[in-house]
Amino acid sequence: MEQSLEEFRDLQKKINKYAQNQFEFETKINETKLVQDELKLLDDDSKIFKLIGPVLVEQSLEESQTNISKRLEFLTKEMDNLTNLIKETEQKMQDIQKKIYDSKKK
Amino acid sequence: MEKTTGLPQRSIDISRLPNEQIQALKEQMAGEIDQLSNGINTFQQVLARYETSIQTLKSISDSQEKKQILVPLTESMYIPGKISSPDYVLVDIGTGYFLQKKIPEAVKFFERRQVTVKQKIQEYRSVVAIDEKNLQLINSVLQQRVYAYQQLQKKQI
Repeated sequence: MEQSLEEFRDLQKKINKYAQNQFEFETKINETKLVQDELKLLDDDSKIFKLIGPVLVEQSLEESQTNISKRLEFLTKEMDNLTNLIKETEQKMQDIQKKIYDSKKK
Repeated sequence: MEKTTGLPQRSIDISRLPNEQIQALKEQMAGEIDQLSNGINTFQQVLARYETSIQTLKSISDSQEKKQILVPLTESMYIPGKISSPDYVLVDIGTGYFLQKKIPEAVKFFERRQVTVKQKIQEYRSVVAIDEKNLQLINSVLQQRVYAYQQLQKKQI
């Protein structure tokens, strides 16, 4: 019983951490989407610069768009991973809850 | 935020949950509210920054000539300079990308961003409102339990 409670609390902490990460990823995804939208509005002759370390490097529209879609893809994948992790952890929590409930009944 | 889904079913179950879990739920809610409030604060700072940018752009474009400015070298030391190409500015659009834009375009960009940020603030506020309601519910259940416990103790004395 004690042990299960301990486990339950650990899982809860984990879920909170995952949620926190999810929150951060969501922010990043939003930012990337904004950049993507902004690039869509551009003409072909607009100048685009990418900040690499302390240097601004000029980049073609095409290259920027590929980079941004790749980044978005990566972030979305990470986000899905987190969502799955949260689901798994929630399932584990439910199992423990059930175990505690059953042992109380006896 | 997708977190709001499943809340109604939670609130039905709440009075049957053991104290431990209610406490945990309460912490979770409070944490979420904290996080969202922080987010709203950040958004408001961003909004103010965009506003400053717009005002600055307008003040640059007001004068046709090459305006003399003071370029900060350190926080307390400046050097006189002239803006050599007053028609274009570089705008930070996020994730390290900068765009060269004409001033009216740049102003439009910031205005677009402001609209987006304002929408986000609204979104967050509505989630906070729901969370606060839930927190109230949790608190009232906890209070009822404390009260019931006190009554029980009185009877025993």
